[in-house]
Amino acid sequence: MTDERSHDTPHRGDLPAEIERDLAQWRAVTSSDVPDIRTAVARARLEREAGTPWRTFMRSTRPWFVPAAVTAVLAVALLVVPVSYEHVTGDRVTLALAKTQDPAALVTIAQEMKSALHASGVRVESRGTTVSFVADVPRSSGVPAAHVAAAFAAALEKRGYQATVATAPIREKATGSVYAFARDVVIKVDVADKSAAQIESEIRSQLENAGIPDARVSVSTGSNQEKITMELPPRTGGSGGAPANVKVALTKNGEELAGKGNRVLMTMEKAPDGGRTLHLTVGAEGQEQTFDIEHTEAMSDAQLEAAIGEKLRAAGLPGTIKVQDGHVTIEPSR
Amino acid sequence: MTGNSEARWRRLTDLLQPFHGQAQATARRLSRSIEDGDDLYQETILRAFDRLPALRDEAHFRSWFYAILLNRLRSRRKGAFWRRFLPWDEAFSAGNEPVAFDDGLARGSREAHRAVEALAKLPDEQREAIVLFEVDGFSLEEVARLTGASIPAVKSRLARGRERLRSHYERLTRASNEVALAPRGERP
Repeated sequence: MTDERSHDTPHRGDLPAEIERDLAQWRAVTSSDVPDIRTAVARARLEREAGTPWRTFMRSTRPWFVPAAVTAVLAVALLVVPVSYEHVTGDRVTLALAKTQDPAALVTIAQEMKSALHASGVRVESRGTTVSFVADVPRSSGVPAAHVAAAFAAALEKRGYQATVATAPIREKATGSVYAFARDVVIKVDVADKSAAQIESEIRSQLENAGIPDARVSVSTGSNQEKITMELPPRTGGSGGAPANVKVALTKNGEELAGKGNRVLMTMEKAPDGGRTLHLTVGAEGQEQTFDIEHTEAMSDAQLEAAIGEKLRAAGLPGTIKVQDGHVTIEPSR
Repeated sequence: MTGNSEARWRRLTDLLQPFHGQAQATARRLSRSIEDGDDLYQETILRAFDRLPALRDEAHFRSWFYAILLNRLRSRRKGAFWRRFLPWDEAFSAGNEPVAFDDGLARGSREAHRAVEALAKLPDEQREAIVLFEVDGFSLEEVARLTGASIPAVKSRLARGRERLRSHYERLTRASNEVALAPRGERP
């Protein structure tokens, strides 16, 4: 409704007598005890001249000042005040066996398990009628812990052991600012009906929005396959070493592509000291693995090719690797 | 205090003199309470003092002063610090804000009290129109100039405000009659 509708010219006295009477009474009440002009002005002058610096400041400042100041303080607090958060650093594999009378067999199994999982050590615990082998597998090793542990348990069963295996993520509490916590950058791209150039442009745009303007991105697509290579600039800022992980989540018509098709995502991260770390995410045969290869700047093409090959084989992801002049090509086997 | 400032206070006092009583009463009528109205008036005087050097035509001082008063009133409504944090709209729908009854009103009659309650039911724009036209006696043109609205808009606000006042009083009358007719034990 608008206020602009036409109305008859109103006249005073058109209101019912009862309302007129009440308004008249109210007029009388509000007109009574009004201080004279000199008193009113003197009070105002007193208020002005007795104003404390704070009151003067508040008077000269718009009412939005206080909420704006509170917001600014909160924003600074979020950037500076440390908060604790959890992140997954690896997997804990627990293999339980029925107790055996042969201690030498336990040592052998522990060594085999350590080797299969590329773990730094295996802890053996004895409880009642079972003995447990516990190994921590860091995510950076690239070993698909659950997959390898299940295969290892199956192999033990074939040797006559009753083995059960459980894998649980290892969570670590980290402390950093909210800003640092938020530095995990997730790039989400729907690849449906998009050319490689379009995907590349979209990734670059999202990286720019996330504050990473100088990334080099290249994308190639094939049938049921996308290869994305990103070269990220050195990390800057004083976030206390908090991660600046860039993750790419691909979807097709809204459906997650993780574990589907053959995909390779390579992210080369440069450190301020010139060091380079290659982050690899390889997807093939329904599984996807991520691993890091550090100090690639010190490797020859052949060494880097061998290092990638070793990681892929350990992850159970056979593929063809080619490194030429530092340029890596990976073709996961179908 | 400099001589300039002294002269400005004198000039403001002289210009305000002819309608000071009416303006302060208007401030009270537009506010939630007499005390609130007196604060509003004092704030208006201070703002007028600050802006007085920019006043070009003293013949228009009255409307200029009222415009400042209405602006301060609207800023108070919009800018109240606590309104930014409390779900005001949920607690009190438009036109149903609580009215404080301070000593000034407590001294007033039952009729004045009823008028305050009825005006509190009106949306801000309608309340301003009713107060300025019906209570303060401003003409339609003056109300339009003071509130920055067109004359048809003022007419519309007056018509709607009057209608709401009538409805409110009718409800009061009905409620009184029901109470009067109810058996003694059932009276609230």
